[in-house]
Amino acid sequence: MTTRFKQSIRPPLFRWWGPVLILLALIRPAGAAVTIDAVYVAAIGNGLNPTDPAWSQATATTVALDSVIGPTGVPQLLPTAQWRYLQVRAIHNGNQIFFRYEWADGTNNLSVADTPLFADAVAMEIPFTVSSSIAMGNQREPVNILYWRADLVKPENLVSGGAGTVQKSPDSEALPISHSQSRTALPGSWTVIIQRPLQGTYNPPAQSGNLVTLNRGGNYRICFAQWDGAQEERNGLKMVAGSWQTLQVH
Amino acid sequence: MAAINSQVRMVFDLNKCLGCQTCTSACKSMWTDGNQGQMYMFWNNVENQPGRGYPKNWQTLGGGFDACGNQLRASGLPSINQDYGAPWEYNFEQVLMTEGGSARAGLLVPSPTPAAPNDYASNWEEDVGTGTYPNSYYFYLPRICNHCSQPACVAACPRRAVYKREEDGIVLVDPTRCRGYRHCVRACPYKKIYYNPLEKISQKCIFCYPRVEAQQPGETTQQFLARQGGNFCVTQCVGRIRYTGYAEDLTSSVYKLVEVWRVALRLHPEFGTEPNTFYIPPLSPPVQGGTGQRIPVDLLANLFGDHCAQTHAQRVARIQEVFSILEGERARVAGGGTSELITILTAYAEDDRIQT
Repeated sequence: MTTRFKQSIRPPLFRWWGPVLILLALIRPAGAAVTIDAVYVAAIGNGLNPTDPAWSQATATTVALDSVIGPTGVPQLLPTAQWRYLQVRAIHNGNQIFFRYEWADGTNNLSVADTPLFADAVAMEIPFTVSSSIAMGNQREPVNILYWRADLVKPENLVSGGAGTVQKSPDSEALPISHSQSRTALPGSWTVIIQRPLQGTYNPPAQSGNLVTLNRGGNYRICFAQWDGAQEERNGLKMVAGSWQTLQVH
Repeated sequence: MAAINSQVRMVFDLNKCLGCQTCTSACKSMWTDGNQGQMYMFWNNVENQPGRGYPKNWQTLGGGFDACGNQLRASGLPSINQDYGAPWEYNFEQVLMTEGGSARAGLLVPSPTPAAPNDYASNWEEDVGTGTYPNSYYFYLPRICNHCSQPACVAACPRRAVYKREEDGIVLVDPTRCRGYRHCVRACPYKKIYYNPLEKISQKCIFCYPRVEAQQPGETTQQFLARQGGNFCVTQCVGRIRYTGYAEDLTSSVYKLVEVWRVALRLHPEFGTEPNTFYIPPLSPPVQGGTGQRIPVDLLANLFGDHCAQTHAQRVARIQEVFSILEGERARVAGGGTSELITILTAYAEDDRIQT
């Protein structure tokens, strides 16, 4: 007996989507791409502390989370009224880099301890190569994602080579990545700081290692996603910046 | 699109189920006794029908496909404590002196005591009948994952962490690929895929594949079973109500019950997933002073049918046809004749039931 059955609901990405997306971007107002300045601060006391004086030297940049993931797996621009906003700051001391994310979220979703519970989350995506597909990378140009979720002990280091392929890198637990998380009172917002070394483990010639290296003076493509657990957001149900942003490491 | 070369099936003869829960205990002790996140899970459960079932009201939660189509239907997500039932422990060591000494408590009590809104569990409604005395009725409905031919859980998983094996059609979750999104829990209309909140992944009935795979070429069923082979819920079934085999094995009991004698029906075929477990609907005594079956055929037709496109009237007619076949073959044997169907249903030997 041979039975054919309904497989994954997502068709593969098609090459013609690129030009279509560019056309869409031209005719519809998208969030302006921004540059996030990772400012050099020689002496950072405790970068995971949002009140550390080093943060006064950082530049706050607002990233418009202007898109959701459509049925084909690529970002779909939303009307302006539905956008969310992520404030990003970054500082480094030549060794460690700290990414600070702040966003409004009126509901505090900390737990995944029951079937209907989903936790708040945020993620940043940087390609291992110069560029890649914004939609979770592609097979030849994978992306590196740092994923924070409110219930996790530490952020996960993810790698992805296309929609549906994301996975925690085998060395995620061992990588020197740490974080702090805090909330303000109503109307409510998250402040999440993620620390990682500038020096990653990725070795381009051998294509080994799972944490992309960030060099001083370098510009990197970066993208962001945010999930509201109260709305059962997880996986592709998320708000994203619909285009690459720039990370400039000073 | 993936192709399946062979498909395991299971048939449950509801006329023989005595609701003893040995299958449930066997499955629980074999597969879901691993950690606290599995305690609420019963990959195999036996529930009273009519009743709310496990998880609570699963039949009306949603999921599956719309009208024989390929669009997934919306569904709620059951809560562990309120809908599946919070797992509890009994104070056995205080009452039964299993640790020696004298009993320190006189009563066996659950802890935590299930109280509203968490007053629910698997088998919560055991032997709770419907209808008015002396015509009240109920029957037992054992349920496992249906290892569907059109599994909604597989269709819903964006990571393909849930997959259907080519060699035997068993539906499995790859724990290394699952990221706990729970699209599968939502999509399964039978709610037979469970979220483990400790491991943060989904888990489900694996059709005892390590035990089913164990049969050696040329080995008899007795030798196979002696080596702990076969589905554990099937080998432990006290009432011998369960049959396993392959859909394309024309000599198997499951094939004969489903395709030849046509006495086994699908549970909620309108969900559109083409389940591979089948049920022989329960006969029941006549109502007092009448001739009608005590369990209304209309109620059974709400549960059982052949395929998703069947109307309710067609399902009623099919159940009446099944009853007619069962009663006719019973009468034949009672009259001194022989019947292949009754021989299969009697299940004299384990070889008659276990054919995977």
